[in-house]
Amino acid sequence: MTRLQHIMYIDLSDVLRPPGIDFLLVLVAALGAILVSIQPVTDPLMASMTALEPTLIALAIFLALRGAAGVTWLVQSGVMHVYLSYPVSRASIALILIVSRVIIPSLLIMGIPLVVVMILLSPVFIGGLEKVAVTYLSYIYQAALYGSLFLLIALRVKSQATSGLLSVAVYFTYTALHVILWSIGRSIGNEFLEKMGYAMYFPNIIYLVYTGSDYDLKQLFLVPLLATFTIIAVIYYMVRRFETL
Amino acid sequence: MTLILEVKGVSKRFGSFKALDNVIFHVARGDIVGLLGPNGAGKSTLIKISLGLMRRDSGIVLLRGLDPFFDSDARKSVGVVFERPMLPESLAIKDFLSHAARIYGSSDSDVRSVLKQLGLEDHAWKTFGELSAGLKQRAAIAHALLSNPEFIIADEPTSNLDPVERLKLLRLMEELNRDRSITFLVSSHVIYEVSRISSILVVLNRGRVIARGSPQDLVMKAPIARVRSQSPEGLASILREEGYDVSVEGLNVMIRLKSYSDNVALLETLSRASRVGVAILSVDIVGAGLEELLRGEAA
Repeated sequence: MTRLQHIMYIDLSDVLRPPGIDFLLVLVAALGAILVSIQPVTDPLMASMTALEPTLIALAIFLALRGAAGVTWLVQSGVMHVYLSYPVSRASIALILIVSRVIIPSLLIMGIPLVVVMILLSPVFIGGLEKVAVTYLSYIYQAALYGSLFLLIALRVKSQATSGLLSVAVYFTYTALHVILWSIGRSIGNEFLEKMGYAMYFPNIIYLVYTGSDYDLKQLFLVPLLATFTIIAVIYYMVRRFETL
Repeated sequence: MTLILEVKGVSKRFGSFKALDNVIFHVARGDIVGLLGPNGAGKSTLIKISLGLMRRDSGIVLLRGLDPFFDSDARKSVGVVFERPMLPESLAIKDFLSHAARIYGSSDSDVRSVLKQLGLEDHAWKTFGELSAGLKQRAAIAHALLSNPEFIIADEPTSNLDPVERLKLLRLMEELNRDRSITFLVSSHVIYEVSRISSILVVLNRGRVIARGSPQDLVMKAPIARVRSQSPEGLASILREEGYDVSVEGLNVMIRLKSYSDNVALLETLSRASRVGVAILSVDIVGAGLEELLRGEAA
């Protein structure tokens, strides 16, 4: 293991420590299983989306409260002092936080219900693994956008309660904004606003792609670009501005 | 003289509060530098800026010749013990130290060695949260030692320890300095502790360096006479009439002397006081305390 992997292991042991993630994993797995059992889904795309849609809400709350607000605990308790006192660049520490507090929990929490659903509905998924993988990735991008936004908030405010509350507020504001922009665009006939509002939720675009509906290339890149920009903002903030308490 | 830490004209504000004001000081290789100051003097801020954990508003910091805020290599071979020792709580101490050892390029035998050296062998499988305050401090010191340090920065390292543990830690620092040539920057507000082991004392107050020198120079420059008397108020008024700076603490009368040569005159005054019926129980001449240094008397 490299120096960075050791720091990541230490940080992951905090993020994934029970209780918290264990309950959540059981919950999202059960939820996914129930939802696909009560709905007549026969397509791998729909089956994946049915399982992943509610999971993303649970994941967003986990990322806000355990992932990002956990960073403020690191800062307040002094563990961040320890991380930053290692001979490792600030950019590397920022990347470690993004991977251990956003990417790995997202892969895990979104992955478990999908695996459960794939086992339950294995005949539906046979031959549709590519659709499942792309749908799964679209949710991961969406989660990465939320998680890195929450991380940026946490690094800036450095207060656990404020960071948690702000992150949840930002999540609901983003969700509302995507619906509002789409609705306004539709009602006033502004195609750009309508398409961008719709594209703010990446799985929507994947749905358009696989159902053969019309979509713009820029719609396909909106969330990945926003997520990349936010991740770069986290790294920039850590390198240039962040300081411990 | 090779410098391991240079701080040149560093200032830092938190809103309208000036935490550091044009601080200039350095730590030479092989020294034990004691950073003294009351709570809120700016010691921890200065340490965090010296490690690159905090930004400075102005000035230059060079740790091992590099700017620690931008260059992580500056922290190679630098061990740190923070004021409130905190290590991740999700792993057992031994596990965490094993990972820390790999981060610093040390081995598992180094981990076993520091666990033994710090008396943590019986607690190795506890998490940091399960340790007592003293053991937490020891674990933090073990963590600092794993960096194969040439320089250890310790922010109030004795603050959670009982007197026996404090003495042990001070001895350990002396040994590490003597046997492994490890340089130390140790902050404290207890002058007695740091002056025991330090080769240089730097006194910080309200964000400014107000004194720097060897413990002998600083502490002995402003001696205090502590006179125990059955009538301290009577003795104090006699001494005040003679022009001494006096305060009364219970049965003790504290007299601030300008130098050790004032002893003779003081003893003559005490002798006169004794002849007029003021009972003198004991007389001690001691070095300056932090309070005296902060008054600027040692500057």
